[in-house]
Amino acid sequence: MSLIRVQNLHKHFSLSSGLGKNLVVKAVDGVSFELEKGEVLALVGESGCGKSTLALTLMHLEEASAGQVLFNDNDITTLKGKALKNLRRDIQMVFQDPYESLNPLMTVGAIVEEPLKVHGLGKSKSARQEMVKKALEDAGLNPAESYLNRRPHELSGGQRQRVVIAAALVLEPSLVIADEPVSMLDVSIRAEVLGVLERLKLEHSVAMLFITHDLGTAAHFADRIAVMYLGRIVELGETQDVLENPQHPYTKALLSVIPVPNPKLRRKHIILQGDPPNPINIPGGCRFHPRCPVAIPTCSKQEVALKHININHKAACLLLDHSA
Amino acid sequence: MRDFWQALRRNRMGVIGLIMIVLTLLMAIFAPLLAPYNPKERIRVTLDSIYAKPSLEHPFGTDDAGKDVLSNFIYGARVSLTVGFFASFISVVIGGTIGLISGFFGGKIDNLLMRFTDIVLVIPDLPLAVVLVALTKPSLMNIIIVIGILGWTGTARLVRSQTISVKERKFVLRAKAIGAHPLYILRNHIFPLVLPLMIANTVLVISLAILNESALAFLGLGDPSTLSWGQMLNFAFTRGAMSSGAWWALLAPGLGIVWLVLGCTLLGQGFQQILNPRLESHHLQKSEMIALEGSHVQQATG
Amino acid sequence: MSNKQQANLLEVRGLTVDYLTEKAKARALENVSFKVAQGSILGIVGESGCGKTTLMLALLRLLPQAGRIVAGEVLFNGRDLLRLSENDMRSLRWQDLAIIFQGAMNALNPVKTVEDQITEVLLRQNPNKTSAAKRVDELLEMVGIGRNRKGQYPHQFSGGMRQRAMIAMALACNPKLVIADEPTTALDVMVQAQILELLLQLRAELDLTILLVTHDLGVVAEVCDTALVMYGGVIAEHAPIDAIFNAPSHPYTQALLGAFPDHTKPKTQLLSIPGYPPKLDALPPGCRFAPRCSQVIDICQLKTPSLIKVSDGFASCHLLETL
Ligand SMILES: Nc1ncnc2c1ncn2[C@@H]1O[C@H](COP(=O)(O)OP(=O)(O)OP(=O)(O)O)[C@@H](O)[C@H]1O
Ligand SMILES: Nc1ncnc2c1ncn2[C@@H]1O[C@H](COP(=O)(O)OP(=O)(O)OP(=O)(O)O)[C@@H](O)[C@H]1O
Ligand SMILES: [Mg+2]
Ligand SMILES: [Mg+2]
Repeated sequence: MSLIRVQNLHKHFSLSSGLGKNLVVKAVDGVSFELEKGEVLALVGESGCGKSTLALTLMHLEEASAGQVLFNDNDITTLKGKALKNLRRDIQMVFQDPYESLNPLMTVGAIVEEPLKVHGLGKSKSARQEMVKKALEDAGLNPAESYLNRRPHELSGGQRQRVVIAAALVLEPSLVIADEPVSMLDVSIRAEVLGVLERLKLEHSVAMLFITHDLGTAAHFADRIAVMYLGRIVELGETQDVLENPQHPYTKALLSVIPVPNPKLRRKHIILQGDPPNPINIPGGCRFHPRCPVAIPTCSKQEVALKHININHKAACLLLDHSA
Repeated sequence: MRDFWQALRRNRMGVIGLIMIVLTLLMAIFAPLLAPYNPKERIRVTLDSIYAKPSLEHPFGTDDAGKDVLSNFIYGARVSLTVGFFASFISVVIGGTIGLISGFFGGKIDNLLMRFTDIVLVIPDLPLAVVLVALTKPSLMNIIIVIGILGWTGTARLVRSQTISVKERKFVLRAKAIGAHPLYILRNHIFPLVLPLMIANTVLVISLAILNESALAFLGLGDPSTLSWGQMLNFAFTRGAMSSGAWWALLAPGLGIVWLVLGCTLLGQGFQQILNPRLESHHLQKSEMIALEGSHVQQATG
Repeated sequence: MSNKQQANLLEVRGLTVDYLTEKAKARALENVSFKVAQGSILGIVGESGCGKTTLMLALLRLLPQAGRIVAGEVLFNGRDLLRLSENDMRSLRWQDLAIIFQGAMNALNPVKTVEDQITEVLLRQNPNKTSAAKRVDELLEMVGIGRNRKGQYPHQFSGGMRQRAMIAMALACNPKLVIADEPTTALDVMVQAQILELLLQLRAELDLTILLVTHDLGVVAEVCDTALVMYGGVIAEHAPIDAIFNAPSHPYTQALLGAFPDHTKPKTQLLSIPGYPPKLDALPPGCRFAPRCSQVIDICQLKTPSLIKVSDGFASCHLLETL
């Protein structure tokens, strides 16, 4: 049984263009995947491809336009009220910007305690205090006492992000959705925060959807990688498999342009021209075809679905059929 | 809070404004000690004592009823300050509530409330106040209420825009993700961050209320049982101070109003200068600022 | 790729910069010395706050109000920029030196078209309108902005396009040295690759010398010839990139490489560097990296190491002295 199963999820925003014509932004446009208990799935893709929207929709912070999300085999897509609040204990989120995601007026202790209060957990103030300390220590803030009364502006970026992680941990969720949790941090601190997340996975078997635009970080951290393009997953597979044997031309291009800290390995870059595409005008056929370096005429006519390359590796490209 | 005082101490305008207000406040509180005469006391009027020139006995001269202008002035501060504080309290409570609700809930509620605000905003304050006060009885209480319920629009708009910008911040989204109730979020995350700006705004609203009160009183709609600065002006104007050259009857209350309004404005602007940059605490923004500064230098020298 | 025979276009000697703040004096750069060969690309890396931007601004004498150059020389083609009159410096700044400021693509004037903004730069140099118009077309073509888009406003441009426009502006007066402060930091990987390729291509066409500030070691490995690793306002290591990446001398360089993700080596452990970068107003005595260094020895906490020659480059570490 999968922890979470996402089936054909859509999230469309409508914008009024001022001319009375309504534009539809198809930010998430048919995403399906599954996540097992204690597994880390990295979601990578260009800016604007819909990663954050997908996360917010899974979190019920945006309402899904279509599709289903099953959590422990229960459909959670239309939950409301009390049931939704209970679900929130199981799924927590860590945001990109540690400077923005903490209330500047609250102390670290109050921030981490807040989720407990909201859910009425912990019998007494002192019981909650113990839970808060444990969460802070799990997030690598030792000794916890010395942080309780500090405020966010007295902390460094890495410490702040660990406070955010502690505030997510304190509810003992089974799934954490982390939206670019380290991209604002310096390299030397990044590894440390990733270490904290890794321990979560190993010691508490928390599953994670790890959103990033940095395939390098994903490579070190994730069990599987999903590559997203214009609102859809175009390739999904085990980390090593995707990195060493990419199938989709977009994945290949993406891999070729990620800077590698090794001057001996200056590779040929497949540079896609033009800007990241616009989810208002999604091209017909394969949505990648206008930028695809190997597109054939059929690509603009025929929709493509994910196809298995092997049991754990799927990609959505017409050419895969042709070569097979 | 300590930071705030330190920042205020460094803000020249704010300090001057604060000193001006505190001085006036002290004068109002200790009026019985400071005033040489009690304005309520009955006196015998002689022809000489009407509009008497400033003298040792009456440093600011006397008014049309032979009363000591200095004493009237000192006691008059009490009325202006009372109206200023209470009316602005009403304004800020109304404006703050409307602004918070409008900004936080957005959508239809926002549309409705903002349209209402616009309507109140376009009605000219003073004429409406005149009508309202004239219809009711011109008592201090009525004046406070009328000024209070007409002066909230600016606060509502300011609080609304501040609420919207706080609402967009990630910690509010995080609170939602925890499962917190919207009213909890409004109370615990948004209100505390909007409050400082509201307080700063209050000081500005006070000055507006004081001005409005003076205007009403000047037009003859003051509370007859008290003597405010506006009323002093009104009496002086209507009872021949100009024609008899008794400038002193106008000078003190006129300057008093200007002094207090200026003090409030300075302090209010000082507050806003301190609070506005403080609402941001972003390290990338700092480096962007540096970059921007750099490009200004370049433009200036290039 | 670096051409050692060629003369050094830029040589910096003992550059020291202070920021005077209300509370204290912070030494943002201490005794920074390095050389840049004509036609090469020097990568400047280091964590946030280590002084990369400060160094670039100091070279051009564009430090903000609070900044003071306390000591040092900046030799550009043999002339010390720090001794030039403000007037000479100003004309040099436009003709020979150009800077693309950190975050500057967001600082384009929102109410003027991109074309107008570039023209403005050109007219300051030479008030001939027709030649300026021709040059604008040339520049835009050079950076890959289609002619049909030159009349648009910055908000109609994507981040990558705006950065291209900034580069066009920097190239307006045919500079010899281009300083690019984090030109790709806020951009997507694909757009970053486009911009880096553009810089490489321009370097080849125009024989530019480029100082490229970044905090991405991958970018350095991809496009630079030599690299300068900075830590807390001092140079930790300065060497050709082969040495930096394959035989790093300084423990900080080694640690930085260990912490940097490399997708060609998945599932290797990333090693974090414990602790935090030093605060400039509370620097540790001795070597600034000592509190975080895994190979620290007694002398590190007592004495500041000086920049010494090691096989291929320079590094400042006591371990290398005792060898
Ligand atoms: N509330 C909204 N209303 C309208 N359009 C939206 C909204 N939120 C997101 N979008 C659009 O949906 C698309 C996907 O945005 P999203 O933030 O999910 O991208 P992303 O992959 O997270 O990008 P990044 O890497 O920059 O964070 C974008 O084109 C964005 O402009
Ligand atoms: N105007 C200023 N006044 C005082 N201190 C400053 C000023 N500008 C920068 N600093 C300090 O000087 C140090 C170096 O800053 P600098 O901007 O050069 O760093 P950087 O390496 O470019 O960092 P980033 O990667 O964040 O851009 C920092 O500690 C910073 O706080
Ligand atoms: Mg995002
Ligand atoms: Mg910088």
